[in-house]
Amino acid sequence: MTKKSSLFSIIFSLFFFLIFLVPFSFAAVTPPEFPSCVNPQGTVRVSYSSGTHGVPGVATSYQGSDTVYNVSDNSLIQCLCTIDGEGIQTNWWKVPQLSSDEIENFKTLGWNFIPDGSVWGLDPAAYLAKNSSYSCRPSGGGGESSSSSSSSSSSSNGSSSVGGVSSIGDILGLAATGNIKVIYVLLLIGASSLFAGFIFKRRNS
Amino acid sequence: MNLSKFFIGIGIICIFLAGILFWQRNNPKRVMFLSAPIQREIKPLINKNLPTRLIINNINIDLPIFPARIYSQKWETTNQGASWLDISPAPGEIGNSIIYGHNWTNLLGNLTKAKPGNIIKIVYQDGSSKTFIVNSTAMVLPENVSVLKQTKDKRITLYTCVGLFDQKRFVVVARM
Repeated sequence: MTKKSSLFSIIFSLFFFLIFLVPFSFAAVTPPEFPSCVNPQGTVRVSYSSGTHGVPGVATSYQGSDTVYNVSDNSLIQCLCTIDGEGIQTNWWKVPQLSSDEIENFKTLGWNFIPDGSVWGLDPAAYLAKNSSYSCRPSGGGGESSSSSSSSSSSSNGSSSVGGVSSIGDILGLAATGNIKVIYVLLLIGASSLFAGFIFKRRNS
Repeated sequence: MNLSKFFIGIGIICIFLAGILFWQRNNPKRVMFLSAPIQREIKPLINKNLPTRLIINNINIDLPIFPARIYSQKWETTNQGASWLDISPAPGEIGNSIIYGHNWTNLLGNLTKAKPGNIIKIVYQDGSSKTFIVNSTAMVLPENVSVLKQTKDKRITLYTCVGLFDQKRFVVVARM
């Protein structure tokens, strides 16, 4: 029984450590929020409707349109739309002084460390860059670049009123449109209750 | 003895409920009895031609659209179709019109199969319709509200849950 309880304590401590403490170890420096390339925000820094473009951390180059948006003083997004309709979003984060441990931590989270941004046409500072994929329509020289000119000048904060609609600037998150968590929780409770029920039944008999 | 019956009863009920929800999520037909659709009189500030139907033939989506609102950060949802955020422009007006729905097979579950170039048809209250072409799709975190931000073009943004534990959102942007 003592062995069982100590094993339980170890498992519980490990669980607690992984769930609660590990995330906080990365919380010293947190990346800024980046908009999505499906609705890019900010001002256009540079835009190419065609040409060959590179992506940090990827050796191959891509043909297509490429637009870079200044999102804030320390963040940019690069929206690349290849001629095949493959979209690659790169989130660029101009980082403060980071220790090598912190850089390694971010690398494990999928970030690429760029010691000098000027190589990529950015400010001569250190950057962290992270790629994610999306799909785009390459017709007309790139799906995103056509919208960039319109959104760049406005750079609305989500609170602008278009066509007299109310503000949506205070919305903190998208709708929860799935219920798989509820199903899993019900299954877990159900299985645990059945197990407990059979244990009690066995003891009583 | 009573305690064991109690736990076994709870277990059976929970598993039964999970089964109903799982069936509701994956049932290709829309036979909903767990909740009624939103029956609310809509009094928009502007006399909008409200969208009533969402059709994406490529991915077998043909759903009624219900106006919905957000109360204290909680988005209204319906089990009967797609929801149109009624503080966003009506589809076809200048701006970003937001349409969302559950990722169930009979609702927007197939939305993840949408590809750039697909045609989206919106039917309106007066019987007219407008078509939009899917321009881009992406998977974002639910905190990424940039997809809701207004634009100067005429576009619709559709989204539904996706991913492990439904923790991400699949976003489809289509333009007129």
